[in-house]
Amino acid sequence: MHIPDGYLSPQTYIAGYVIGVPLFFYGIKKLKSVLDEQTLPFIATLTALSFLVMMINIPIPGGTSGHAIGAAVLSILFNPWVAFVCISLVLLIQALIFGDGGITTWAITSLGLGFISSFSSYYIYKLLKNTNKNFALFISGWVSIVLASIFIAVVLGIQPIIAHDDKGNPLFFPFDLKITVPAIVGAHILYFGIIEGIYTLLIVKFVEKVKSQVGIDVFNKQV
Amino acid sequence: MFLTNKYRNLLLLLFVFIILVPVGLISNYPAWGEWDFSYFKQKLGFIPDGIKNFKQIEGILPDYSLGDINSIFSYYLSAILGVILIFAIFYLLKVLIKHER
Repeated sequence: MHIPDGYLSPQTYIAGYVIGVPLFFYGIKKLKSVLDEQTLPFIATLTALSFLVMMINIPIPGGTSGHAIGAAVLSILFNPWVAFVCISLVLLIQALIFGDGGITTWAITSLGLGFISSFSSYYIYKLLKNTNKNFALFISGWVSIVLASIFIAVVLGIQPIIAHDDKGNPLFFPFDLKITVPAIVGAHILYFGIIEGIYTLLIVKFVEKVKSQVGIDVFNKQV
Repeated sequence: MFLTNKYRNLLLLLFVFIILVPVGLISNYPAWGEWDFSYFKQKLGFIPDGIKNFKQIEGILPDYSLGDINSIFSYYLSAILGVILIFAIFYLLKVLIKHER
């Protein structure tokens, strides 16, 4: 889901920046209100973990591979703004240092993998946490990555409609929604959603244990 | 602050994930959509202009690799570099917050 440069039309990625950048700066403000001596080790570790978990590509049937994101963990433990900024930061490092994902496409990718997954997991968890906590964590992770995949599939799938030459040949990403939605969303429903769900469950539980050892009662949960 | 005993388990968690990253090298499958140009040529008979003409930014360690150096080693190197960068950014941000206050 790291969209490379050249895949999106300027109309799409400019819109992405117009929407994404103000949200990113607002998120930084929120992050600054949370970041202190006690929370920094947690936020930095979980952000680093997101970076690492995105390097662990898991192959699936059909000749492709993918990975978890880790947005839900940050979102549930802190708040969705913090998670959004942290994931966007990871995506920026991946694009600039490792050529993984594009620069023009950074805002769109951040909105999908960062914003949508963070806010969806936060509210799903809030809704379900009084039922069964393990279930709520797993489902929050699963929903977060599936919704992000829907956003990315739609953005890619509308490119042939937005931009093509006189002969009708697509100028950017060439496959339409009929192809992108089943391929991307299907893989996330069946495989990467499960991985994200398990990751969310295990890491949140682990970090909560560490948190109680450290003696922090609550993280700043203001949204 | 981070290296005190209290946070030992966080470091352990980080360490476990760093150890695990080469699992990501087992598969040669690319993520869906992140194909070489040849894939478009083969499927469509052409490479869309926007994709063909965009000068990709390769970064310092393109695709988490460093030339001919062993792929597991360069993957580890990339993982450690990424983690250090992330921590540096948060520490800088904290310093900035301190100054602002």
